[in-house]
Amino acid sequence: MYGYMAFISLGVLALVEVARGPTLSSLAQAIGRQWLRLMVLLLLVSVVTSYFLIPFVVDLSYVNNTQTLLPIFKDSFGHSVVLRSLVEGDLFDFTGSRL
Amino acid sequence: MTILVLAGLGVCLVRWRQERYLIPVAIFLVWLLLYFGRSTWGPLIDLLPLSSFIPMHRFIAGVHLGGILLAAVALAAPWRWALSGTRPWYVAGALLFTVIILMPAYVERSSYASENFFVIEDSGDSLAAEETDLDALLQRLKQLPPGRVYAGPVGGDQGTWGLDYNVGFVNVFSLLSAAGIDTMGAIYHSYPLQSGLLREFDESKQEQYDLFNIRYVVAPEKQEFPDFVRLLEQFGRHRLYQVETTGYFGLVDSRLAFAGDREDFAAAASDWMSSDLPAARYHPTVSLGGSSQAHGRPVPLSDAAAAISNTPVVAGPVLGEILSEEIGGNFYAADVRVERESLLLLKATYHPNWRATIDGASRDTVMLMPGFIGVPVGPGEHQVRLEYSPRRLRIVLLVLGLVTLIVIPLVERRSAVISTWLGSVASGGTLGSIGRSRKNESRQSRRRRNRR
Repeated sequence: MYGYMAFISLGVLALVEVARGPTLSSLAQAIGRQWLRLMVLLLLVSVVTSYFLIPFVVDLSYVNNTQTLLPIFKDSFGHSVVLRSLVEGDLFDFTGSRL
Repeated sequence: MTILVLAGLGVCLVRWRQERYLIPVAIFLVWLLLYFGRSTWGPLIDLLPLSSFIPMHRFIAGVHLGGILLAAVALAAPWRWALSGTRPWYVAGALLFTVIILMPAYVERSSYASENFFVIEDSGDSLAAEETDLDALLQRLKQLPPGRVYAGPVGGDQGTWGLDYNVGFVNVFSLLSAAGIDTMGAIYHSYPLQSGLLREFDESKQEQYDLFNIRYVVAPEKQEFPDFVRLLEQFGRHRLYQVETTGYFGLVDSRLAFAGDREDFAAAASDWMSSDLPAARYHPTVSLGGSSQAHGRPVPLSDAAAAISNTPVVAGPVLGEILSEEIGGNFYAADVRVERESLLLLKATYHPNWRATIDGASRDTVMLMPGFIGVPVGPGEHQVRLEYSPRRLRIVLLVLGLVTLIVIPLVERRSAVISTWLGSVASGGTLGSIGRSRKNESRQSRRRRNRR
């Protein structure tokens, strides 16, 4: 889960540098370069963790997918709850949060 | 913290021309937007890879990661101001500001730590006070013939007396698991197909104790059970009960064959468990995800409810008996006497990696309701062994991963060449340009890039 989040974060960070490129053509080139590097990293991580990932995917039919979690945990809470919680301090300060 | 995060966001937006201030903003905003989840984005969220498998409430970790960086940016602002000045009291002012602004967080964390300290202390005292009784109970369970131990439900129709049955703040089912006892009822993960079904276990039905091989029950004095749950011994306030089961193995009939996807499995298994079929030892075969285990034409799992209710239950002749069984770290073995064609049921979660042998010869396994392992057996006396052994593919992939880990640092030494190649590929260049660009670039510029 957190490895997945790390890769999404890296994908976004790869855009931060290039987003400030001077022209559109250089921007496209820079995005291509950064994401290609990220793909190489993803490939290496996939190869190193393949002993776990491939059997996991192959055997997915035998893994439980019963919704033991409330739908709200799977689909999250929606912008209104999240933004209200941010403003009221529930996201960063422990105040008996709903989240 | 919220004030710091919002202040940090403001500082970063003011200084957006500097790249480093965009990083926390990007992390924070992207994860905040993703944290809105499906409720906000609807089907658009499916563009996110693996989104159907991800519990999106966990995206709060990304929001927190961005928030921590933003809070650091906000805290750095007064320090930057203080250190750029010449007067010492500027620094004192920044220090005072930092202490005041972080005080609520410190007080909250301190209170949280104190609470945990109390829980640990109290549990330690309680465990010490009951140590003799608990040790005797565990010792007894290890001496008895093998079987699963039930120490209460954690939800479902039977309530939650398992959650309330504690030593200090520690659940008794956790103590049993930690001692290596095979337990049933409470699990710390829900990967097995039957995970959801455990909550439907009915303490009043003897056939369900047999189904899961719950041979022993550990419960507090006040807990009441049906007569077939016989008191064996008492250890302080803990009672040990015994229930008659056939053990980890059983001889069963099939009668039905189901096929379908795992999405339909839980409902079908629930229908089967609440029917008369378990008591009659009718365990339909199940094929998931296109595997072909079923003989004849299987019924779709989505139609299981009707098929189960239409299956007549008739008392048939005895199928045979389990003469003995042996339980190991990754195997189960049994000697069985079979009277007529039947299925030998192992009351453990099915997986294709279980290998079966009957009298030394390999046999195919099938999945039986409710997600257990089955092996077809013919009449006669047999020695059956089921052993879990991972595929060879896993070993190959593990070696490949280790070799890759070793190769990465070697390749890293040539990172300048690779980086240039990646750049040339991205910009439409050719492999031949690697040599050229490397030749043309100065030692200083290579060093600069490597540092970056």
